[in-house]
Amino acid sequence: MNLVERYIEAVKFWLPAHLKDDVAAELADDIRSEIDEAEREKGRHLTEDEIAAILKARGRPMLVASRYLPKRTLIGPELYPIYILVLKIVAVCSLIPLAIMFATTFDFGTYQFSVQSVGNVWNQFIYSLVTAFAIVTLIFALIEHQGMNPASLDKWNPKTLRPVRDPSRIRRSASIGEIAANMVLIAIFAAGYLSRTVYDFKGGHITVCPEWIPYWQVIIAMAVAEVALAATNLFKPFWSWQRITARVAIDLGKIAAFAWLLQTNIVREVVAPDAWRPPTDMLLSLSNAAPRYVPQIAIVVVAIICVTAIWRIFHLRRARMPVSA
Amino acid sequence: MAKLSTLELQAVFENLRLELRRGSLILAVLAALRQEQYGYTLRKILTEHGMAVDEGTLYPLLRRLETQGLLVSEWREEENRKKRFYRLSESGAAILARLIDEWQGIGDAIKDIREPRT
Repeated sequence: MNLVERYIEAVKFWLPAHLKDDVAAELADDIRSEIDEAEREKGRHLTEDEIAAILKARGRPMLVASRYLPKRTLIGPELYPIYILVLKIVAVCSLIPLAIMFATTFDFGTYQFSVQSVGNVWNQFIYSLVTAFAIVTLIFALIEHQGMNPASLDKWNPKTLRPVRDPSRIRRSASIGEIAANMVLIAIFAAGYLSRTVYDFKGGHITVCPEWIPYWQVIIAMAVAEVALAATNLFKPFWSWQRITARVAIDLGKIAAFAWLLQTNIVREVVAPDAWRPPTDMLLSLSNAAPRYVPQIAIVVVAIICVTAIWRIFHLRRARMPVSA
Repeated sequence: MAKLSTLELQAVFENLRLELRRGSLILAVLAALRQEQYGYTLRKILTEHGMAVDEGTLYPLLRRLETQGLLVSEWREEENRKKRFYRLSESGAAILARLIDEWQGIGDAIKDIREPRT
């Protein structure tokens, strides 16, 4: 019986104190009953190998013990979908600082990424991601185990559910907003406010670079194109290959023009009363510092434009599945 | 959806069969314990009636049913060995009667669905 006793002890090891003796006694009786019956059938004592086969068929001691324990989950099925959603949001939010940090590791002298900096950024990203995931998991596990289910899980109204939205559809409000914003810009340009390099204000003036005027001419041309695109979207509110391409071209044109303008040290001179010095000095120093950050800003914005375009193309390719009640 | 291979089909069937039997097993255990039994004999009775169950499933189930007040148990010595005997409690008998009605209702419903009355 030595094997049986060892098996029972091994099962007991995995059981909580209040179950150990009770479960062990019952399990021991069950195993011995099975051995007794086998011995009666065979008319002899079982060999050690035969007893080992009986125990093996019952499963590993840890597995046997686990069946007596209550089923426990770190995060239960009610909270699990929210938990996964929060993890996805955390993962996406972690990618934004990663993109910015990668952009800052680019050496514009040699047009190369510094291997050591990239390694540091990557390590920092992994560390932040794992930490964020661990914190989110811990919070959800606490909510689960303290029974602090958010009240919104119980109180909900079908009428407040989000309307079904086709991701390839362009919201009309967005198109109208785009037209209105661009018309305001065109009106400001038509009034001549963007065709000069000196702006007077009470007690002083700001002088901007000569590139200011051609920059706005380019932007106004883009604004006209954007109005045309938004007007088309207003009447045919679904993304198409042509319109995605036009959107990307306009956005890239605008960022290229802006990057070009930033490199020219936009603000050249500020004449202002002493009371206005702090903000005007800050404006001047920002203008002087801007050229150093143009590549980084451009990389991040271009990345956002590309990701948005890819997302739109991805949804364009997916068949629209009608859902009817 | 691709057609399932024989092995996949068998795995799906086994999974569903287990789910189906899980609920029925409680009914079988409660019914078998209208007469007092200890674990090993109960397992044998279930096996003889085509409801084979491994001890890793049966004993935790017996504990659960006892905690819920549907079974009562006592340790007694028999054949020079201490054994734990289980039997249906009064509440267990009442629940068993209701569960059998429910189970028969399910059986009738499935029969009706499979062979609609014309």
